[in-house]
Amino acid sequence: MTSVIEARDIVIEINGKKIVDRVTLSVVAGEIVALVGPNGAGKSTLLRTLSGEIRPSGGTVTIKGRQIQTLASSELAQCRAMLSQHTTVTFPFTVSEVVLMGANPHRRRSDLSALVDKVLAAADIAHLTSQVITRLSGGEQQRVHFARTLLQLETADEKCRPGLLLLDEPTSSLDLKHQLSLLANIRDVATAGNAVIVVIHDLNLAAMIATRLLMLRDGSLFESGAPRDVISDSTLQQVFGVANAAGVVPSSDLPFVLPHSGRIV
Amino acid sequence: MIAASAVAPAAVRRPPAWLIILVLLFLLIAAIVAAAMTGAAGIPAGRLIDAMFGLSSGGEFERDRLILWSIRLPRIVMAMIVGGMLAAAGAIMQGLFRNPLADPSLVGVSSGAGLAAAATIVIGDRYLSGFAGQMPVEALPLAAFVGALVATYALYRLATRDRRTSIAIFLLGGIAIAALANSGIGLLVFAADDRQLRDVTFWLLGSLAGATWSKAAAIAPALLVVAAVIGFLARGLDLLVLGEAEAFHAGVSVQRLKVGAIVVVAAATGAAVSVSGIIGFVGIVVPHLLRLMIGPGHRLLLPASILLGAALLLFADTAARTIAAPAEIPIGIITAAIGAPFFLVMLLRQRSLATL
Repeated sequence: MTSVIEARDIVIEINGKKIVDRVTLSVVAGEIVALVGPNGAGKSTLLRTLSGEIRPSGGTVTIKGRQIQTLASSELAQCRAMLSQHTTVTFPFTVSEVVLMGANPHRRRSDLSALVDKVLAAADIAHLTSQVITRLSGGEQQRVHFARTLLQLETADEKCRPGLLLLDEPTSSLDLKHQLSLLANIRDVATAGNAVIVVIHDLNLAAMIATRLLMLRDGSLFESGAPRDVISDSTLQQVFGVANAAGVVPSSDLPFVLPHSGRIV
Repeated sequence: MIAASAVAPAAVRRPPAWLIILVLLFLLIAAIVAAAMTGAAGIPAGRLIDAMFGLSSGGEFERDRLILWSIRLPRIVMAMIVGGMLAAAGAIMQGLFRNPLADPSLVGVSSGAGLAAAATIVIGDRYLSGFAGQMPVEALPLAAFVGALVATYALYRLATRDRRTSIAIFLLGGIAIAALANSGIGLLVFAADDRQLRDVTFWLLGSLAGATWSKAAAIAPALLVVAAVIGFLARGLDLLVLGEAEAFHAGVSVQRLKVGAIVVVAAATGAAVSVSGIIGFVGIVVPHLLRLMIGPGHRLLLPASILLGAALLLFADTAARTIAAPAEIPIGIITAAIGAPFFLVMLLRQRSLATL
């Protein structure tokens, strides 16, 4: 299977400091890759490089065989959508106005409504469409931006399918129910044939959604593989410095992380 | 299930775009009629059409026609162009800096344009008049455009770092740029002779009293450029509200958008300042009023700003001509008297922005 995105020997230096050091990865259609690792491991920086937002100091990123640097931002937006970690809106746009900003500008408005309804339902914000986004809670705002990102992916040119969805901490401000429904949305995106790369802190959520985990430590790839293989006592100890935290849910064979058996006192 | 909507904020309903444009057009026509009728020699409504198209002849009608075509209309046209461009410049600038408090006159862009225009008057007059005779009417708009461009670009470089715009540095930097430009204007006032001084003082107060057809014609191309370009800026400015990275992810060529926006702001401000001096607060009041009514989407906000800016400045200019008739109050005083309290109220309501 051909890969949707390929990164080779990515090096990112910011102000002389190496944030990412020779990372190579490739993601195929239908795959969900979770980038995990401790704070400051370079996950978000790597993701922003894969999106074309940051130009790497070394190495190359290709999306469907084309060098990312040679693509105009409008072409790139047809092939990949990205949800940033924090998005703040300064003007009183309504929810539906913000979601529609994600739509491909070359699509006619009248063709959009079915797709808009679909992403509004997916993000569970159909009841908020005429509200002003700045008055919503952080989690609700995050869902609005997720719907906008989904709409960008859904309205992309046919010739760009399968597309690429990049997500930076999409679950961080969501409640339990919406964390789970967001994971289900991500799975649907991958089932539809798209490639997904998601930066995620919560290892349990990562294990539930990812077909492959890439664990970063100090900017380099430490371990890569199925969640069951990557989440082990020894990697958690070496990467996070946390002992005896890995377990396996007997019914589903999914790994889980529960670092402390009692209250922290 | 427990209803959680007891304290939910009210839904926002936006009026249809055609209705807004229609209402603004009516407002603009009302402003034009009021301005055409009012003045030292009044033209009653019944004779206005006649005077406009020269349908009847006779002493009274000849007089009306002369007043309308050589005094009132050039001033009306210029007030509309200046008001429309100042409002559009404000709206675009607010989108570019993601800050509803941005205004060309407030953050030194108008002062930059004024400095360049004043320098052209004083220095150009001294060194060029000898062999070139009268300066071409386009010289001032061009100089003001360059001055506005330098000021806007400097402001942008000051306030934006790592793709983030600091609102505090934006406003403070704007104050510094305005102070610098004003000190330059002060130096020129000091160096000017009496005749030049009269011209330069005119910039400082802001007035449409010097309106002529040739001045209106000199700045009309700038309005056409602004009107033609805003359609291309609208989607990018909407997305820029979410942040530069988000705009890029959604397919906006951010660099091109910013260069385009800066050039348009400078062209609109420079052209306006070159014929009318520094008229403040139009760019802040008009887009803010419109956002309350039609929302912040730039596709409608930018054309609506041009229409409302034109209408409001025309009303303000008519007031400036009549309040203390036969004397004339500089229009900059009227717009500041309305705009400054307006700005303070906005500042109080958006205090959270000021801490950014």
